[in-house]
Amino acid sequence: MISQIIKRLLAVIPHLLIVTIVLFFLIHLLPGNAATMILGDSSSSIDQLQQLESQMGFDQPVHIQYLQWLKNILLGDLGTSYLTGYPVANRIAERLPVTLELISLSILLAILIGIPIGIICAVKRNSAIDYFFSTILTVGIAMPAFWAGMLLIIVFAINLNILPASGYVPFSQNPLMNLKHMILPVVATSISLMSTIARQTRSAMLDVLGQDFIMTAHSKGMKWRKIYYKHALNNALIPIITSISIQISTMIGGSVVVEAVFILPGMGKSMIDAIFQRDYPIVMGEALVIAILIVVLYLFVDIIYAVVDPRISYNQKK
Amino acid sequence: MKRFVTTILAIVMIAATTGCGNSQLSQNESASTPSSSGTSTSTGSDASPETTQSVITRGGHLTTSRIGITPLNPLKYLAFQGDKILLGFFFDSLLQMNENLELEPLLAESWEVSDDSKQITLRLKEGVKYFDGTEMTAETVKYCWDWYLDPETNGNFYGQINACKLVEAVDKYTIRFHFDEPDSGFLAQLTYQAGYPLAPSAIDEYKATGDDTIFAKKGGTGAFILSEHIEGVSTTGERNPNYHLMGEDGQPLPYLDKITVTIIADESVASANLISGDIHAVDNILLPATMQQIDSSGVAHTHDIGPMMWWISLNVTQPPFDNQKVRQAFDYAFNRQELIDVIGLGEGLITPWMILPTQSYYKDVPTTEYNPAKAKELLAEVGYPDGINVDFYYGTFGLLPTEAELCQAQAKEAGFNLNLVGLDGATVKTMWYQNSSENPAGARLWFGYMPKQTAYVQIEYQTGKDALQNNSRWFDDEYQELLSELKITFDEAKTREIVSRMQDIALEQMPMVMLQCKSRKIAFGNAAHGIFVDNDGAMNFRAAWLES
Repeated sequence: MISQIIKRLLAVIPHLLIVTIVLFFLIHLLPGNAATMILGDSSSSIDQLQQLESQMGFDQPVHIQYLQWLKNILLGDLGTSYLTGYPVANRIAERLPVTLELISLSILLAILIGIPIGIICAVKRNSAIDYFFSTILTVGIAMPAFWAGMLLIIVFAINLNILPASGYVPFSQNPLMNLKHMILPVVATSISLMSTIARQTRSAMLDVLGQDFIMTAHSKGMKWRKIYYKHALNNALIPIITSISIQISTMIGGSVVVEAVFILPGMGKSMIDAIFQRDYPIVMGEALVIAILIVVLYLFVDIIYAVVDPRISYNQKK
Repeated sequence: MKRFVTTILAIVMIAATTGCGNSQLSQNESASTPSSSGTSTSTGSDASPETTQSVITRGGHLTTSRIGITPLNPLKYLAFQGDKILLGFFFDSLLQMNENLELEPLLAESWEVSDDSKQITLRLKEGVKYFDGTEMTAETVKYCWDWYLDPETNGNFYGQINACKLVEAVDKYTIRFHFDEPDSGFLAQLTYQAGYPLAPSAIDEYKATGDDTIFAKKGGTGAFILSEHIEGVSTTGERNPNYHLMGEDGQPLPYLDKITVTIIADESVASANLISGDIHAVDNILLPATMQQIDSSGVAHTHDIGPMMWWISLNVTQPPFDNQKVRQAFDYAFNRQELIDVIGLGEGLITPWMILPTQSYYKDVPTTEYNPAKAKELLAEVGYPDGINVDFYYGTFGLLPTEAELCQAQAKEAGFNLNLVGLDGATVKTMWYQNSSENPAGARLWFGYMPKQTAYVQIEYQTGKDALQNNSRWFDDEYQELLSELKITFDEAKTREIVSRMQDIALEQMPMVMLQCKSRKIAFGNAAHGIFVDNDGAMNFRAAWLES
């Protein structure tokens, strides 16, 4: 197993290389560059712009610029922001934990609520409870995160004044304030995910509950609670885990909306801002980190599969 | 039956969800309480509300918002007007400008322009200290300006100050700027980033380390000193104990202990934070719905900071706008009063050209009325009897999409079928730069904050021969000669004469179609007082205080 994991990790390197090449050339296709962003709003001349572009290396061919960037990466230098001069590595180190915290807590909340709801809906299939939750879940899936976030702010921050509308306090600085600031963003992020997980759980559970071994277990006198949680859920987890992993990879880049609403200093918003500002070092640095995270995530999911389902083995020799 | 009821319930709830999402759009489209049109706005005033608390309170931590990042290095500003909000924490300028666009002393007590306009002499205020404890003198200002004027430094404002060829320290507190050719806009530049004198030690440290935050920590003269900077998120300054200005209580300013600017790109988010009390000021409110929400909250209010001027630039190097009659026809294709009524909820004014009625060199001529028939007639004369298709570019933020859609509807009646091309702001801006290889055919909808600090800057910005923002790519020899003459003219009467002739040329050739002017606002919590708003609508907090 460990050798397989190491092989998987090594195989990732060419994938990451391709990702960086594609991203680098794609972002250079966008009109403009950081020099035009810096000088564009001032009364600047064409000569001044050309001088700045030359200073920043934009007069070089794109492939030369890429090779220069790659060389710096291999030397451990992610570069600095074109607009502010701030080291990209520092920016990632500050922003990534915020996004990871948001995603982790959202996933946790979504799983803690979504899976039980899904089980209930499956067990009480076609009952009033099933229809009630199904309706709620449909609304949850349809509700845009931006709107959910604004609604939560209006209710809890403005009207009730019991939670802050925005901002972030690091956990290491003040755990209680950190959690207080994260409640609303986590709820806003997890609503849609929770609904998706619940729906997926319901479907998977219904599929498993219809199988013969469930009937066998029941006829042997096993209690339904044990059947649901020990046997049915275990077998239903594979598609649920797959769904969650897809949602997580989407959330890594899609957290920008919630980060913008709640003014969280996360990676999502940082990336979007950098794209609009043509701040290439930040875009490439953060894209690389996101690509690595997603690769690690999928590897982790594969390991989880093997744990959940003993039939799955990554050993080529048996 | 159960399934039917559940389905109906689901449909109703989804409809309610999307119905709520449309309410803001409804608010934008309806004119709730229209004010009279043609309202001019004033800036540079203390925007604070009347308060029952008459005693200024020292202490406290004020938080304001800013829509985008501001580099802490003043040479690398991104928006020379808006960035003053943050940079003004740490840097005072040699001069400042009031609401009437009149220069006032700040770090310089007085100034004098020589008879030939080739020397400008400033008398500096004595006893001003940089953050590193050294005194600001003519020598330190010269050191800073020698660095500013070095082409290798390449500060963003270099193009605006390089008419100055030499800086001389006449005596300890007198500095003189020498020019080969006069520059009428130079004094106004001293109210912006170029007017921030930086400590020599900070300049040296920056040259050695490249640390962009060094000036806000050690090199400024402002009311606050940088204490925390979270890149792209927030910046905090703490009280400068050696600040040179005194408060009303006889003690040095500032009154506040700390001040923070937080980046909030979305104004509805900023508004929610203002109403909840998480922030005390918001730097930019454009949407009428947001303005109404704040003004009706009871805990905050908005304040006018001068108009936004809206216009359409026409690329005169490409069909169809390479034809002057087509451009003139386009000018008849817009109902400007309707734009005011819908976009500005009845507030706004119409000007014939890019000069406001409040400016001394404004020339009042009749503005073009909406006349679709006349537009069609002109189009028919030049071979477009069935109308014409035009690519219409705009940035997809703020009110631009709404204005673009309204323009499309109006222009259709006049024979112009506008193909809306909405792109992110950065893309459309760079595509339309004068030197862009894209050179898109068609028109671009845009806006600008007016007035700018001098007639030359205001006009050159969009129509200058070398200006990046000359989206029309329009060059007229006589116009450019007049623009060059405007740059060196200090005399107001002469300025009026030159601008008048330039306006005549521009209105005849029509490289741009002026639409309307709409007010823009900032907002404060009712607990925030003493916030000074300058000619650009940038807030300064040196004398701000919070109610206890």
